[in-house]
Amino acid sequence: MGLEQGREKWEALYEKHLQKHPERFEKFVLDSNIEVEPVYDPTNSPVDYESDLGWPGCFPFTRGIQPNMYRGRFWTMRQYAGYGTAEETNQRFKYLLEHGQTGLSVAFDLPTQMGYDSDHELALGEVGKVGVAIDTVEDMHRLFDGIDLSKVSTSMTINAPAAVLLAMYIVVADEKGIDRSVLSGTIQNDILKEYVARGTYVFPPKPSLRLIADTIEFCAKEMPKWNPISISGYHIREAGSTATEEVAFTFANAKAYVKEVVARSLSVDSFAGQLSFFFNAHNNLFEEIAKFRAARRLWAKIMKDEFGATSDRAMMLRFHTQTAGSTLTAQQPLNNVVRVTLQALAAVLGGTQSLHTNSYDEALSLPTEEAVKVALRTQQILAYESGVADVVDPLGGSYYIEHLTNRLESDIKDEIDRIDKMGGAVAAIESGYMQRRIAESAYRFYQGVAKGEKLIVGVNIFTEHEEQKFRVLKVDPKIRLEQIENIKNVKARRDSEKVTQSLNELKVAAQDKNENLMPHIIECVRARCTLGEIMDTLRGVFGEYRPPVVF
Amino acid sequence: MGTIEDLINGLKAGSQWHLARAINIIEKDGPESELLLSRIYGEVEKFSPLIGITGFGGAGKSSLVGVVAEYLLDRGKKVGVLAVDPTSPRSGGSILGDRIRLQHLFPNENLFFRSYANKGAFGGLSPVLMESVRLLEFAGFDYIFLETVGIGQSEVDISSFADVVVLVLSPGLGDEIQFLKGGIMELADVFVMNKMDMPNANISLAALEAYARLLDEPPPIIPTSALLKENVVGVVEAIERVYTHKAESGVLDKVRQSRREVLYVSWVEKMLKEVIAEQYRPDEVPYRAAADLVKKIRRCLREAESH
Amino acid sequence: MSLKVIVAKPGLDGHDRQAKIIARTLKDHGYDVVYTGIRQTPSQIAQTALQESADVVILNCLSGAHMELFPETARRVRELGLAPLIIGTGVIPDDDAEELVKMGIDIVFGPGTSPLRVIEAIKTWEQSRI
Repeated sequence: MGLEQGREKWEALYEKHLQKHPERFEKFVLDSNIEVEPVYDPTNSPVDYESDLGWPGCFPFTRGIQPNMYRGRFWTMRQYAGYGTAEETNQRFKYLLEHGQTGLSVAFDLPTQMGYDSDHELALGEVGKVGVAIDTVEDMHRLFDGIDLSKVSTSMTINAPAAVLLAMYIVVADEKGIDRSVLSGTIQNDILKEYVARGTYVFPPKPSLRLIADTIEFCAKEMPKWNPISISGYHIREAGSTATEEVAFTFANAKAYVKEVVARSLSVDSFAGQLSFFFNAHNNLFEEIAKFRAARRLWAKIMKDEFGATSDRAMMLRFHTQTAGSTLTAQQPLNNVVRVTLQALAAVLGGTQSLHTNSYDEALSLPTEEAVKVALRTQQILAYESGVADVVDPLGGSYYIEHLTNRLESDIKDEIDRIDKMGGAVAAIESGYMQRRIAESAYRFYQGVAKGEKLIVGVNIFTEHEEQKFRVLKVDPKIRLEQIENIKNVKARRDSEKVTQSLNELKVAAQDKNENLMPHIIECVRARCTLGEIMDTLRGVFGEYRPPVVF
Repeated sequence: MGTIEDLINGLKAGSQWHLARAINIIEKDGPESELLLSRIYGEVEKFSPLIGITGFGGAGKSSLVGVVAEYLLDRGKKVGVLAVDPTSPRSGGSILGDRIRLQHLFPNENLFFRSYANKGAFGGLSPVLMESVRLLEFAGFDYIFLETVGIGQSEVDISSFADVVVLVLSPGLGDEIQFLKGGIMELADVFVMNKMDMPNANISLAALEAYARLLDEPPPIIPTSALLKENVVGVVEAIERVYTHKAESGVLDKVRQSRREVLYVSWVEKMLKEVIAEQYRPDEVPYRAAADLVKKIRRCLREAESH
Repeated sequence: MSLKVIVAKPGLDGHDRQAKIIARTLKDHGYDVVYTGIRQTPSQIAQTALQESADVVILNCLSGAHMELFPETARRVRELGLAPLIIGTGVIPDDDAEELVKMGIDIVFGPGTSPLRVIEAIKTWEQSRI
């Protein structure tokens, strides 16, 4: 019996079965608006192995970017951490390293992310809250005290002032006698998604893109092991987008960055290998795994076909993944451990390079030490006990996974084409297109939950009346005063002439579009200028961004 | 809460608290409202330039108002902005989001912004909105901007109501220009081509200029970029020129007269609506019932006059 | 006339998903909603409440800065002689919620609260006012 006849026979059986046993839903639809069939097989999921999948470590990298993936080394376990002062965060870093974490990831507080010093009016209530407060290079010294920067890789979630924080890291290494060329790590530095989803933008798009291109160019020349950007879909998804939109908007943004750098007559092969990405791992296991695979394949094609990349490295999609904070519930918070496990599994089966697993208490407050440890242990159990890391792309060839991979790739591509027609990512952001799409998806999801069409355990099904109290971590409000004291001390000791001079030179350089600002910012940092002083100088030249009104 | 007299004095002193309170009283439409309105329309009128801002959604009306307001505030002027957003016909609610574009200018003693839901008012210009203009004049605002819900709903009203009508366009709206031929293009006093920072903006600007030459009285076309704050001064100067010209030629007097008439008609419509609805019985022929009602009203009016 | 509700985001936190969903849900239930956008100072929110004659002010903060920003905003709103219902929402632990009520926030909703509960609270307040 041939396949087609077999399928027909099954369909008849299925229809008959349905008459007696109706299904749970009339339609099964993924969040990315893809309706899934009851079963996938060679008739509805055809695969051309050579062109669709290829071999691990080879174009189009569907199965992974290394020939043996995790059989050599596991993904980097990188827990995002930071709160309070530099000293406290330094303690938490050391704790995580002792417990087997393999890379550092710094969370900064909001004033730092916005380029304000701790003594700024807008910093009221925010100092040290969602991350560590950094005002000067002295804080950065304290943050990495006793940690060998030549051995550890450090990721920094910093965007608008990314160039300044990178400069601080370089100066700290420099003053410890470590050459910048050996430093490895990542700055997020992805301003376009800030306009779209996360909100910590400062300058308008044009000067922002220039500053980003400056860092990419600088790293291509001087810091070969550094990722000067982590182009992020994570926050787009957190803001409520679908999986398709997450990848499509991220790639549209990525294309804008690549174009900006190519316009400086740098070849794509010389810098594209240093571009890294950052995605979200949500609840639907197969949708997420397929998303990662589709993204890898599509990015390779974009780099090869649209930008003429020739080196494999320039076509490889290397990405960090974080589990989805927005899926964690305040109700029955221990259930979040299970959600995080499933999401982490999706990331590993999807071939991520590094992973942050969320803490189960994050919906309630800043994560406590205990919760952070469980999150890290979740990764370790996946790595050491589950066996999922022993074979490359273990789900490759699954009819369902391959069908979803194809479908998502084509949907993502359609969306990118639509944005290209609007004039690219910047135009789509300025007109509010991306923001509107995300707000729509977020509201649709919310309504689904409110109407009980989308089920969330503990929220709209299997609910309990609960009065569980959880230990929550609080940041001492005195931290602001301590930071203000630190700034005062630095200002009292520094050479004020050098400060004025370096800031002046930065201002002049900023006015000249052809000047790379990184060396100038490094000089300011070395002279003990504060983050706020450096950013204010740039605000004076670049102006500030005002967002379009979008619902 | 004080008396109407306190309110009037507060308004005259330019207090934002009293201004907001006065608008709130008018919105609630109670007995205080009638007292207040009689007072403010009874006094000698003083006028401020009333600038109507219209254009398609996405053309950047709010951003333009934002940078123009900022420009005027920097020069020591008092600026009022009244912005109208559509009401959802289904829920009766609304999201009034235009404020976001000016929010960074606050706190500010010289800037007053008020959001209005149009509540299905004809053309988007409700009596409350029109009276708010009067209150702002009363409170000594130098410029009053009226931002409408968008093309296709309020342009006709706004031209009979505002002193200067500014049409905001943005590149890439070529088809809409065609669509507009018979409408707002003839009624606008100033065309602003916003978003000149966009690629190919010059092509759209040239197309607009070519089109404007076909009009009987081609209005000035001001290229600008609210994003980069480029040529904001050009927009302000064009508004000033039109305003001065209209003042000198006596057009403004007519506009202001028609403003009172529009207001009168709007009130009558609003007040009569309930009465009219009460009069209708479900089985009546609609046309006949309407004609009968109007006949009755005319008769009543005649009787009232002869007494 | 619909009640006028201001949805405001004090502080530097840029995540507006929750605030926007609250705003849209209010609109779908017939309220006129003024959304301030992100990064508002207490004085900006207070002046907005004044100029718009707000009946209700909903504050939303996810960064943990609520203990400083909410009471300061409430203080400034009332200092202007206004008396709207002030509701605090966001990632607010129970202990903080009790404290905030003492500090002048009328109602506080912690994490995981459905916008529909916010609407119920507004309705209850509205009825008690008449």
